[in-house]
Amino acid sequence: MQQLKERPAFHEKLPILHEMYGRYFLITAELLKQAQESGQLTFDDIYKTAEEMGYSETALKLPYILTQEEEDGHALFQGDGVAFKAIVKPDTRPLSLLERRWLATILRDPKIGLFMDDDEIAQVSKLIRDSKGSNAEPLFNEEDYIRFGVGHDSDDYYDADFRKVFRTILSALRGKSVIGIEYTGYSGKQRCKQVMPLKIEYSMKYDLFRLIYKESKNGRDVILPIRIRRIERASVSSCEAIKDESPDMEKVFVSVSNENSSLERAHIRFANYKVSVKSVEQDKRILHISYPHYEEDELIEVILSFGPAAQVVDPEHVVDKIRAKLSRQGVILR
Amino acid sequence: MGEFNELIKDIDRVRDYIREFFIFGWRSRSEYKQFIPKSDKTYDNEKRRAESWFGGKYGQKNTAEDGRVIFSISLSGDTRYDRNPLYEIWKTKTFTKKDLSLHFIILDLLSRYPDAEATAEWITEKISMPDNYGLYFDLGTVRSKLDEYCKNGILEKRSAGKKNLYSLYGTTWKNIANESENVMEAISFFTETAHLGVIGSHIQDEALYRNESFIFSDDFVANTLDDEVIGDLLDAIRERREVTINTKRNDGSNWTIGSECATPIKILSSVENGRRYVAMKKGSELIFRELEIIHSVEPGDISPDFYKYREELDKYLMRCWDIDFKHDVDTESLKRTEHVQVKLSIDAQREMRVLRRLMNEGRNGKVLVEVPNIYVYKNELWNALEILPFVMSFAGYILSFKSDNEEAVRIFSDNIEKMRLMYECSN
Repeated sequence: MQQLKERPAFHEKLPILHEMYGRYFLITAELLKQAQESGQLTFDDIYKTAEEMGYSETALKLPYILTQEEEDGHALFQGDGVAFKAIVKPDTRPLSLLERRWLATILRDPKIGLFMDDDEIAQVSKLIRDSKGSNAEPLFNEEDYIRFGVGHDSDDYYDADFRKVFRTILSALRGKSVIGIEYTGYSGKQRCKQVMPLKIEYSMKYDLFRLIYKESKNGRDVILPIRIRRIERASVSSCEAIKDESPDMEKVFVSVSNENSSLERAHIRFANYKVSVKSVEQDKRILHISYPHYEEDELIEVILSFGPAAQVVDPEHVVDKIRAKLSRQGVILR
Repeated sequence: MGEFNELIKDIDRVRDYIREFFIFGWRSRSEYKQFIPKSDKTYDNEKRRAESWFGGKYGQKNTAEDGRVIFSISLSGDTRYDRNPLYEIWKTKTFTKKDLSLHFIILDLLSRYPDAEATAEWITEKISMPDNYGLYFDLGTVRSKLDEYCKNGILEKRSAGKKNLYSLYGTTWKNIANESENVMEAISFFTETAHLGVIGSHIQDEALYRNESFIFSDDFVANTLDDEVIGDLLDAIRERREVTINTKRNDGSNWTIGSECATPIKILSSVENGRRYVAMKKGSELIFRELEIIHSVEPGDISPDFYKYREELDKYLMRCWDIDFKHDVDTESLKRTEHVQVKLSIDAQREMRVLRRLMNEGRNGKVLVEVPNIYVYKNELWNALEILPFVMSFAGYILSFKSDNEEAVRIFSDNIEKMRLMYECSN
């Protein structure tokens, strides 16, 4: 058996919940930056930033911690009660060991190749070593943690063409530019069009990437997805500002009964849509789910997987689609 | 009862509540009591805290038919979120005024004097000098903060003779961003998709970097509530150690507190339903415990048979459809497998998407073409009932469903019949 290093487990437990990662510290860093730029801040300035960046009760607390000169006084801002000067300059916090270990973990993920080439990965790995030159230890190995039920049709993250297309899209998104894409249509015909990339969507379940884009069709703007794998070539064409747009959303009302804890499963299953509970009865709820129009067929299949425990009650066109499926199903079964 | 504070000392006390607000937003105050056995005062405080953190953006108030106002956390807006909103719970640690001031002062002082022989005494004295910060801290406070930061890797400590010298750890997010154009985009992506992604969100916050490129589907944001537990279990798995897990379970009316000693082998997370389990070996059994019931993990001895256990688990998982483990499994006496055979009619031209789904999501099953447009899906599982939701999702295309598990066949036919009635199918 491979010998383990003599190292006590857990004693060096690194907290994820630590105040240096906290919102109050983040706001303080922002205030120090503002003070550096403008020389001094009023109490109102401090209060306003705390209110904007904080939780709902942050402004009632943090400005006083930062300015009050009570007891032995350890406040970072000192002044006459009206204007305050910071006694310290803002500095960038070094990466913590926990963050370095997390980085070391993601640098081993095959998807990292979509973002960085081997030289960059080597450089970053070198930067996160400790001062004795030891590499940051990943938080876990890939085989220690498995996602169960991922589809068989994942993207190939080692494919050079895929990486190239992915990076072109990423840089177009960041530069807010239009791109030309070439792909083979379902009919087998070569197609090429100018589109405006809006987002890259990643599906955990299928382990694949889709480009959500906008194009003009018959004088009307439509928002659609395409699997990045299908795009053979992509090139940045012209610069044009992209507004942060979202696809047309549709709504469906689903009545879910609580047999076999279906309600709990439904809430978990639909958690990444906007869901609200529209009506509350004993052991039965109406969920109101918003979804992008192009995901209707997938959503219907998920609803069907609940069997009779979930029933679409509105809108009529979705009910019709399901009724058509079940009518066909009935004919087939008999 | 102390004054209300929107910040917290540890995650465990808020985990149950946030999960409830997020997933079961419809429960009323009295119903919560059934699920979380704490006082009304605690419920009020936790609700106030959640409202404070998630506020108007993700907090929702709905009125039930009986007039009750129900608070829930919901992903807001019509676009998908750019960051898991529940990561915010990891930004809420309490601290003292000294913690806050020393943090910024130590970073500033050590970056101003990178070559100084910075002992704890020297640092304490420098801080007190009027031309520096003019603040008095006692040596013990400064030293314990320095050591805490060494442990967290923000500072490094080296010995020079009898002295301990402190310096800043050299790398910041800016250094790595200089090396790679896309590294911050990568961090943004993995923050939402990698395990323990909340750690990436800490880096994003320090860099004030926002994800503007990616959206995510099939994500289970509530999983982050278990990240501390998962970190401990992954440490144990990496070191092949036994652990004692302390658990808290609710059977609908009662809470059971328990603890179990076993060897953790793998973390399993279902992309189907978001549930996460730790698979462990206990005696001759494989046991699966849902992470949300575990509230702490204590390390034990190294387990010599770890790799044997892992092989057993992999063999077992081959014949599982989903990870919804209700029973412990004695690997010595595993019952025989059950067969499932589904015949489907799919137009390969017009219904390509459906066919692709059958092939891609059928896990370890096989798809055979009987004649053009007629497909047979076969699988062999420990429990055929588990595959029913998958089969049901193909309603409309199914010609027949066969299994040696008669209950599965009966439930399938009943379900189809009930649904046909439900939707008033005429034929």
